[in-house]
This record gives sequence, structure tokens and C-alpha cells, in this order.
Amino acid sequence: MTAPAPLRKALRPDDVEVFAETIGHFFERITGEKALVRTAYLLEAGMPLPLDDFNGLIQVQGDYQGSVCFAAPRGLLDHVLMRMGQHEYSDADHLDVVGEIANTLAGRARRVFGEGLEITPPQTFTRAGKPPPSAASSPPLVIPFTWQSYTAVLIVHLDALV
Amino acid sequence: MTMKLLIVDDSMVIRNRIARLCQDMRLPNLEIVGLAGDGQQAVALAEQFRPDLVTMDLTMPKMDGDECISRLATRLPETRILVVSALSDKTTALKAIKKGAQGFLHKPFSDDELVEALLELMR
Amino acid sequence: MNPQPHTWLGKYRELLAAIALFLVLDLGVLIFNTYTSHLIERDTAHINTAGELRVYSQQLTKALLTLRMEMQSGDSYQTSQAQLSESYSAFSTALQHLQGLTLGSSGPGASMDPQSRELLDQLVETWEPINTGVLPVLNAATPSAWDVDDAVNRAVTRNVRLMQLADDLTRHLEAQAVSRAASLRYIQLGAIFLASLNFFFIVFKFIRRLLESDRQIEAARQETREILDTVREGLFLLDRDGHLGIQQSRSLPELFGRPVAPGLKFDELIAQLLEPEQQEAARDYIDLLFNRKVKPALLEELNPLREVTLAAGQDGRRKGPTHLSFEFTQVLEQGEVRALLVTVFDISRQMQLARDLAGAEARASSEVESLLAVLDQDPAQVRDFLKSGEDRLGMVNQALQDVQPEARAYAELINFAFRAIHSIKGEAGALGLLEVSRQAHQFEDLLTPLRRRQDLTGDDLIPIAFQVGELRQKLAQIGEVLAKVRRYQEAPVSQHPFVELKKQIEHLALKVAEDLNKKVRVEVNFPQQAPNLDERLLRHLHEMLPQLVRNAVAHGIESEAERLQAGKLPEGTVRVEFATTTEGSLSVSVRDDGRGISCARIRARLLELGHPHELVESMSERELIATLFTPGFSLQEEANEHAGRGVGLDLIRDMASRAGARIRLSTLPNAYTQFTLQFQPAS
Repeated sequence: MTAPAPLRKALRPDDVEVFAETIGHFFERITGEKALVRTAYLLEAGMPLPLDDFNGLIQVQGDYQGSVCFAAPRGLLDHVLMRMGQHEYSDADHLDVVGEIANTLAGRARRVFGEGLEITPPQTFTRAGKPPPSAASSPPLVIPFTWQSYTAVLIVHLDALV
Repeated sequence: MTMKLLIVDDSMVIRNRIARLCQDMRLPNLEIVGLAGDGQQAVALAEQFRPDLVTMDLTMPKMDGDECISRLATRLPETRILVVSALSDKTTALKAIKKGAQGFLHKPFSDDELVEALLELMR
Repeated sequence: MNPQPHTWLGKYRELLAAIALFLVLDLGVLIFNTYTSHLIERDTAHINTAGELRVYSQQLTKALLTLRMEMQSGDSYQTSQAQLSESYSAFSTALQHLQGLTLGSSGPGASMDPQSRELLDQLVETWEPINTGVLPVLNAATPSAWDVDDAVNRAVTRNVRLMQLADDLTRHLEAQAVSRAASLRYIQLGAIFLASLNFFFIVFKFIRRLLESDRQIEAARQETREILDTVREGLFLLDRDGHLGIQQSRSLPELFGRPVAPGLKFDELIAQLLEPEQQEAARDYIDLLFNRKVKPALLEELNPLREVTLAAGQDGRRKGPTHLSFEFTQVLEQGEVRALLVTVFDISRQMQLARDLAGAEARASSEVESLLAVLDQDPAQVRDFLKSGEDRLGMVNQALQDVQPEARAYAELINFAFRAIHSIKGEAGALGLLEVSRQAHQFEDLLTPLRRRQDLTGDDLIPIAFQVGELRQKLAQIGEVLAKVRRYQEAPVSQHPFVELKKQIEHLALKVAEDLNKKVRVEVNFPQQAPNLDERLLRHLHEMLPQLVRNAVAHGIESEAERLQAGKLPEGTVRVEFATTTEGSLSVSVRDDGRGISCARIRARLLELGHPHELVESMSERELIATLFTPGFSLQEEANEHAGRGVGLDLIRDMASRAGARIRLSTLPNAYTQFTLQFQPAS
């Protein structure tokens, strides 16, 4: 029936696809236009996280351990805010949007990975800010999205534990 | 009484392997009347030689095994069919049995397993 | 319940006897009643007759006296005479009646008691003189006065006595009737009493028996209930119409994570738990169990619900087990399958354990395997392989990072990745690093369907990035093993560069042949004087030769049977020859004595792949051969680990051009295929 899974409960592509889908749908719901996955790659060792002007991050503990982060440039968020009907934007507004996206990711994570997962409230920070250290040891998976002419990235940095 | 066997498989390696195993000492009453590489050929050979037994692959060019079993079951109801397939899920096996096959052997199979399966069907 | 008749009779024999007795008693009472009423009727008749005697005697005496008086006064006496005659005959008849009773052989007279008989005798005795006196009076038309007087005298003197006797008889009979009636009533009462007793006995016995059997049934039910309540397995019966039976084990709702009502359709029960195909398989199987004559062993093997993974339900998580196992047992009745006994086991835990164990085993064996395989190889080569593998994966990852969001770019990326992974697989196979080649094969399995698609999107790349990670990890594992080994062992003295290569080629060829069930002999010929090869050239050889040898065995060499049919030796030969020219250039050829490449076959394959007919027909042999070197083309229809993915020749062409080598192909159908790599002299 099911192929025997390795003892290490590996993070599966499906799990990550769930997050990517969440981002796509978020944009579709808010702006009417889906954000498209451009590609996916592993962040090479020693490379800095591809953070952006504004970043929203959740930390995960339990069956899975690590973080999921959404990073977007100011221009994209301006556009999103405009589509949301806002015309003046402060950094706080931008952080709000990435925070909201991180929140959506958290909700989705809980639904998909179940009860054995502790998720911190979304943390947001600007380019000047510092991300919290990640608890995962595997290389992070980077998923760049395109929306309009902008690029945003989803960084999934999770280890699956037994 | 000697029974006639038709071997149907698109892989020649497998056809030859089955053919070789059918010359096993334990199967003295089995005579190979044909080797078919696809379903159409299988039906044609079966109608010509009216075999008592057929070993049948499922995934084959031209006419697949399912279809082939259906045809053999209606045209030669006396012929017993042993499905020999790598499609290992039970749904496939069930379907084949429902269509009229009498036995099922998963690929890859050991020599003993094939001989056993054929003996079982010859009873 | 035991349906055997004699036991049944035995069980109720007592009751039947009691009922029979009751009926006999009732019937007896009934018959006796009829008899009694008949007696009473008769007694009444006797009493009346006896009473009448008194009246008739009086009338007779009176008629005689009247007659005498009328005769004396000369009046007409016909009337009196008639009255006399009437009373006489009435008396006589009554008397005769009573007498007749005593004389009759049958009838109540027989039972007349002595006292009544004596009274009757006295009556007759007293009557006789009157009778004698009256007869002459009655018989003569004109009776004489003397006769009349005599009759009157006889009657008068005896009348009182006669009446007295009649009275006595009447009273006596009455008394007798009363006493008889009384005793009859006693008998009747007794019989009714007995019948009632019997009736109560039956009722008591019967109720007790009913209660007893009720109690037994209840106990049995209780037992069944307890069993059904306690067993952890789900138990129920399934009838021909697919309905669940009434008796079910309590664990059922828990196992299914939903209420399970009796009479529920099995289809409905599994509808939310299993995938549609599994549901269909289950239906087919149940149908098979009910209707088809299939051997039990096969039936058992076919059970599609032996180990099933349950669907998670609409909202992701469902309560209850994750894996169930169903067992079906046919309930036979006179050779017909009447129902199926279904047993459901929760196997979530076992499955989890099995998975964990399999995982642990796989990991352990893979580690051992790679360790052993690595030890067989030249460490320098393995290091080279790891390095080039990591480089290739790095390039794939870089390509992933840089790819433009267009379907074409995605397609190119996939092709690029495929080639990279294919080389890794080839080299890993040559080095006997099974875990790596397996992982690479899995990677190829992911890529193969993507290569055919025109509508790729970024989402399709997510699993690729994953696989890059997985394969990297496998390489890292080997690196770790190697590092560990190095700590114990000084790096061995490097041998002649070709010796290692030769070993590798032989190993690979034999492995591929074994996997494909072919027989192959490998000959590797080096020149006596090893040419002076630079690192780079050696690396290229390490890359290309395994691919060419793999192709030769997988595509060139036929199966044993085919070879025999073609009049060849059963064992194929692959010959690898190194040759150096005077100018210092090196040529390497790989030649197999297999089926060769037939242009007809390439044509057929191209048509099969959907190329336009006219184009294919117009192609020259050279052009046809050239298509072999285009990406994605393979003569093999089904991919195995060694061939048929349409990569190989295009890869070799790429490698050759990178290495600055020319590649030549010569072939003769049914005879041989030879690839020659011509390296330019080192500058």
C-alpha cells in the first residue's frame, strides 16, 4: 500500500506546496490576481536569506521545527495596499500586510500539520531588522513568486522530526 | 493428458523465461503452443491453437491484457488464464479475475512461484 | 436450537401427556354428562308413570261405581263403560311400562333396585284381582250386574291399597333419582376438579418451560452482547444486498469514526473512508465472494481491504484509526454464500511500526551498502564522483534559481536537470553506489513525465528542488562514510589510471546484464604503453565510457533466446579498445556484437512518436542515425534503470563536444554496433 517512509519524517513537497498555494490564494483573494510560483531552489550553504524590505515570519515547534517566512519589496506591498483601497502607506501598513500573510500561513500550517505543532504569532521586521535564528538544520527552500512585475519570496526552513 | 499453453507478454525476456520454466520437470504435461507479444497476436494464436492455459501480461501494445482476457473468456470459455503482471495493486488483479482470469501472479516472480501457479491452474 | 424431531418430542413429552390427559378427562366429563342427563330423564319418566298409576286407579274405581249406579237406575251407561275402558287401558299400559322395564334385557329396568321391584310386584299383585274383575265387564257388550258388582267390590276394596302402593313407588323412585343425581354430581365435580388440576399443571409446566427457554436465550444473547461489547475488532454480518446486520461489535463506530446503524449499506460506510478506486475494488471483491467460484487461497490474496489507509476526511483530520484491515469470511448455508462475516482490525499501530522498521532497515542497509560499496572503490574516484555530483547538483540548483518564468525555460531546465541526474546515476551505478543511483532513478521518475509536458509552471519545480536536496543528502552520506574510512586508512597508492577504469567498466556491464537477464562477456584492451593522459581527459573518459558500455549492454546485446534464434552465441560480447595514434591522439571504441541499429526500427519509432510520415520517409540513413543523438529519443518504449529514457546518446554527444572529442557510430543490423571516441592530441 503506502511505501514505507523513512524513520525521519521527511518534509514532503506536498507540505511545501500547501504553503505556496496559500500565498497564491492570498493574492488572488485580496487583489483578484494570483501570485505565481516562479521556481523553487535550495539556499546554498553560507548564502544569506533572501529577505526583502518587509518580512513576516512564523516559528514552528513540535513535529516540525523551524520557520516559514514571507518577504516582499515595498513596491509590491504598495500595490497590494492600493488594491485594498488604501492610498497612504506607512511602514506599519507594510508590516501589517506581511504579518497578515504570515498569519495565513500559520493558520494553514496548523490545519495541515495538525495539533502536534506549536506556532508562534507572526513576527514582522524590515530589511533593517534581524530574523530570529532558525531551529532547522536542513538547507532552506526558497520559492520566489511573481505578482505583476514584482518578486516576493517564501522561505520554508523546516526540519521534520519524529 | 497434455495441456496446451500460450504465453502472452510484450517482453521477450519474460516470454523466454516463462517458456524455459514451463519445461520444468514438475510440469511434464505442459506443451507450449505459442508465444505472443501483444494482445492481438494473443487472440489470434489462441483461436488457432485453443490452448488450455494462457499466461497473460496486462500492459501490452495494440490490445492490452484486460481486453484480451475479455475476448478469450467469451470465445474460449474453457481456457484458463493466469495473469502475470507487474501491476501489483489488487484492483488490477480483481478486475482481471472479474473479466475471467483464474489466477494472478505478480512480477517479479520466482521460478517456484510460476510453477506453483501453473500447477494450481492445471488442477 | 436443535431442530431434530425426536429431541423436540422428548423435550415436550411430559407436556403432551398432560394435555392428552386433560383432553381425555374433559371428554369423559362430557360423555358422563350426557349419560347422566339421560338417566335423569328416564327417572323423571318413571316417577311420572308411577304417579299416573294412582290417578288411573282412582278413575277406574270411579268409572265402575258410576257404571253400576247407571245400570241400577237404567240410564245409558255407554259413557261410563268407555271411561272405564280408557282408565283400565291407561292403568294397564302404565303398569306394563313399569313392568316392561324390569323385564327388558337392556334399559334402565335392569338397574331398578330390589325395593322398587318389590313395590311394583305388590302393585301387580293388588291389581291382578281388579284386572280379573274388570275384564268381563269390559269384554261384554252388556255386562251383567253381577260382574259389575264383583268388579266394583274388587276395585273399591283394593283402590286405597293400590293408590298407596303407587304413592310409595313414586316417592321411592323420587328418592332414588335424587340420590343418583347427587352421586352423579360428585363424580362430575371430581372429574372437573381433576381436569382443572391437570390444566393448572400444564399451565405451570408450560410457563416454567417458556421462562426457562427465555432465560437461556437471554443468557445466550447476553453472552453474544458481552463478546460483541468487549472485542476490539469490528464484527458484523453483511448480507447479499450489502446491508450490515443487527448484531455488531461495539467497537465498530470507533473504528470507523462514525455511527454505524444496523441495516446501513456497506457502500455508504466506506464511502467517506476509502478512495473511490478502493471502494470499487471492495464492491468487486464482495461481488466475487458472493457470486464467483474462485479458489479460496486466491480470494484471500485478492482482498483489496487487507491493509487500507483511511482517507483523512473533508477537514483534514479524522478521529479514529488511520489504517484498517478487513477480513471477509463466507457464511455458507447449503453450499450457498448467505452472508459475509466481516472482521475489522485497527492496524494503525502495526503499520506505523512496520513503516518505522522498514525505514530503519532501509537506512541501516543503505548505510551498510554504501559503506561496503565505497570500500570496494578507489577513494580518489569516489571523491571525484562526489565532487562532480555535487557540482552538477549545484548547477541544477543554480538553474532553478535563475530560471525565467516561461514554459520554454522550464522545459529546458527539466532537460538540463535530467541529463545531470542521468550522469550521476550512471556514475553511481558504475561505482556500485546503489543508494545514490536509486535516488537518482527516483529523481528521473519525477522528471520523465515533466519532460513531455508543454505547460510547465513554477509549481512543478518545487518537488525538483526537494529531490536536489535528497540526492545531495545521499552524496553527503557517502562523503561521511568516506571521511570515516579515511581516518583509519591511508589513501592507497594510486594505480595505473586505466586499471581502475577497467574494473569499473566490467562491474557496470555485468550488473546491467544481470538486471536485464542477459549474458555478457566484457573485454577491455589497453595498449601496453599507457598513453600519458591528463586529469581532464581521464575525467571525461570516466564520464562517457560507463554510458557507452551501459548502452551497449542494454540496447545492443540481445537476450539469450534472441541471440540463439539469430544463430549467435548465447553470451554477448562488449569490447572496449584503447588505441593511440602516432600523433599522440587517443581513440576509444566500444563495440558490441548485438542486434545493431536498424534504420527501419528508427523510422518505426519516429512514426510511433508521432513524427510526420513524409518527413520520416524522406530521411536518409545518416539523418536517421543522427536522431539517435537528439534529446529524449530512445528506441526502447519502457524505461528501466538502464535504458529507455532517451538520454545517453545526446548526453554523450554533449560530453564529447565538451571534451573536444569526435564521436563516430558504425553499425550493421544483427551484427554489431560500435561507438568510437576520437580525442584530439593534448596540446
